[in-house]
Amino acid sequence: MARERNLPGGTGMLLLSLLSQEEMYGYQMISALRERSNHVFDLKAGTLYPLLHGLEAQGYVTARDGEAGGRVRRYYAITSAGRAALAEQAEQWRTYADGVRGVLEGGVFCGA
Amino acid sequence: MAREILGDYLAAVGDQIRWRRARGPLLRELSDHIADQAADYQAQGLEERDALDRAVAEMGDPETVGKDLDRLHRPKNCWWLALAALLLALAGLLLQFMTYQASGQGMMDLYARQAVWVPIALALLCGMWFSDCTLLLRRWWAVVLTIAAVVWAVLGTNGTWRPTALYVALLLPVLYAALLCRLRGKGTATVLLCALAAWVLPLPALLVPSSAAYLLSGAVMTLVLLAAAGLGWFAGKRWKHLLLSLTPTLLYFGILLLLVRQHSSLLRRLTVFLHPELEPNGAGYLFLHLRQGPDPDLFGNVLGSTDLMLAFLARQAGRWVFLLTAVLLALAALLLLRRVARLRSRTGKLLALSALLPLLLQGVFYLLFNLGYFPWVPLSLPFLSFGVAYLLLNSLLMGVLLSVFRMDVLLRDGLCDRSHASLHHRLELPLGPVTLSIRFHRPT
Repeated sequence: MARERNLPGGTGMLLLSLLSQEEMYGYQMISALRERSNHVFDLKAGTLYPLLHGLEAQGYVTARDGEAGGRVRRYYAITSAGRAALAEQAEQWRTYADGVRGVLEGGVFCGA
Repeated sequence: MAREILGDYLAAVGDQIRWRRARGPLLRELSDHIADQAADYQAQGLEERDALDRAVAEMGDPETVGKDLDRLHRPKNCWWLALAALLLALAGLLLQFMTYQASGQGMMDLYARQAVWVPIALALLCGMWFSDCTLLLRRWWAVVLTIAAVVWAVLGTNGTWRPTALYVALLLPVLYAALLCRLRGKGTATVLLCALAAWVLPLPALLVPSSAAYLLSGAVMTLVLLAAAGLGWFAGKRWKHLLLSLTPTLLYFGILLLLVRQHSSLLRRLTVFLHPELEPNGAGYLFLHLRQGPDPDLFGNVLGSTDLMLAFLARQAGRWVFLLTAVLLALAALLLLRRVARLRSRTGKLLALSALLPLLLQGVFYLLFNLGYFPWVPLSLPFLSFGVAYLLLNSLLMGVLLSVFRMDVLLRDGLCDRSHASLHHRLELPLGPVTLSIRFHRPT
């Protein structure tokens, strides 16, 4: 399961992408994911936290407790290892998406 | 009613988390999330009860969530390190017995006392290992304990408890690291104050007097501060904080050099240490003989000394004993520092360093002294050399180190008071203006 989440285009990659822009807390991540994907990705909190803690165990994100607006929240930030993993997965995803698009839209046959 | 639903949900998640210390921090994160979600629903026009109800329903199946979290949050026990401590303590007893036999009468009662204290020290180590190392980070306990320890050390130097300052000097780095953990994000003034404190706090050790204890404590605290600065613990430029962390050390040693040049007794001591052949039958006697290797005359006099156990062994078995000790020390340092570097949080790294470095530096000082290249009497060779108090203190340090390794997945940087890790079956979580009380059904 965890491996699936780390596949190119998986939820793990999406979370790393969000965190590559700014550090966020869990609820903020779910909201941002929902908004930016135009409600395509509506992640449940019960799925998010095990996933985040898994990314933390892999060394892709770090967590810290911080205070905002009088409330204590746990903020997650991407690490350099996380950025490297994100870049690799994003590249793989683009290759995969280009391949799918080529098939769906009728790609140009070369070498004839 | 809605709050009961929330309590039931969190209790159901918590029931799946076998490690009780993990429940508090994990459930708190979930309850914070639910509170955020409920607040959003209320802003959209829902009643408080409906908002909380819906927020809980959004969370997903509690059993699955709990199982997923449980899988990711298991204690990481460093069994090989605990086993190494046990083997070292037993090997220490054997070596001490050999020393006792070689030196003759008058040592057996002391040896028996040491043998009795070994299991007690190991029990202390286990107690620390399985305890919650975040206790030190809560409120301002580290400050209170540091002040109490320094006052106790100063008072102790006037009476029969003179060595107290040495023991305090060994433990000070752990309290100092806990103090640093509370100073995250502070500026340059804090760094400078901390750097000064590293050489001021262990001053009572000089009243004993023990330069080795002072040097060890000051050096470890400075190294921990350097690690904090290097890890970006403070606000501002890292290089600036690294430089500030080292400034008092450089100043201190500069002043020391000036003092040595001005005071003839200090200069003579330094000269004799560097050139023991100048006083072969006086102050240079020990350094000269230790550097020259096995010497029956020397060891006839100092055979029973717990500070020269390696030299004694080298005389019995050969100088490879020194090489073996150096290799083992380097290997332990490499493995353990690598383990510390892999800890998730900077808080964990600082705490672990503060417990590990005193153990390693004691070993280095001891080895150098036995080779004749350390000017002051060392403290101990952890777990191996004779001495009940040092055995207990080193067990305590090892216990702290094991506890940090064990709790790695729960240690977070930031608000220290939040790092609660309750062992109770009941958990109190703040939820808005009220407190949510959760009772778990699964006793683990």
